Amino acid sequence: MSVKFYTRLELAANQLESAIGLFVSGGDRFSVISLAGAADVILSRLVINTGQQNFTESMLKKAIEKNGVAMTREEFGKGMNDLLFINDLKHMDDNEDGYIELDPEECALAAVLKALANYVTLAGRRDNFVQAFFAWMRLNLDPKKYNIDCDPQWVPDRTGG
Amino acid sequence: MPKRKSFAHHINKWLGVVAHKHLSKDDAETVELDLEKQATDALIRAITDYIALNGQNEQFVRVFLQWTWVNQDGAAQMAKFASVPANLRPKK
Repeated sequence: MSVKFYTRLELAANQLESAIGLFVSGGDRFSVISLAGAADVILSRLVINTGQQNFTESMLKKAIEKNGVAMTREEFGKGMNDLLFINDLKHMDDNEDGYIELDPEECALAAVLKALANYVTLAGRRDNFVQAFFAWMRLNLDPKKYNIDCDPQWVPDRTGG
Repeated sequence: MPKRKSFAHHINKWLGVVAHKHLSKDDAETVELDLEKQATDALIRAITDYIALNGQNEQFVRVFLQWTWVNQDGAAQMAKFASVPANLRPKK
């Protein structure tokens, strides 16, 4: 038996690192979503605890500015998690039929990106797994579609060119 | 007897699962865990339910059962189980 104290940041970082390792090596996308989603619940709260704005809050702020959306952080966060099927992969209620329809690749990538944004807010970009994922993004993602440098001023190129 | 949902939550806390996927406003930012033991137990719980649904013929299931037999002293566990009264054993 080896009981030790761990910080919640360690638990979240280890899960996110595992999610990224699985993702870039072509591993199971459902596991990526579950690991990144679980890590992000912890990271989102830790960012709030430092007095900063987490990813969900920044997206909510943009949605309010753009569309005048009236939602709480919790409602907006649940909507984002539902969009990425994070809850569907870790819960199943009595009235569910056991089937879900999703794009595992897109959801896994988005779940990692969401958790990574919060991790970078807390811990910066120096960890090897963070640098490795940024390198993977530069090599594999379209910079017109994805904010591969995490530039806060970035907007997607919708010209279709 | 506790309800299934609250007992499941208790087990999730005991296995360290809750610590890995929830953090509320008033929770401490540190947690005390036996990672190796809890990871093993969490896998045993999940695979028990998986076997109830799909049997134990798939390779990853057989490999894990073999691993637990060797590393968790399967013979001693079975001897312990033999002394469990019939009414306390899982229903078939």
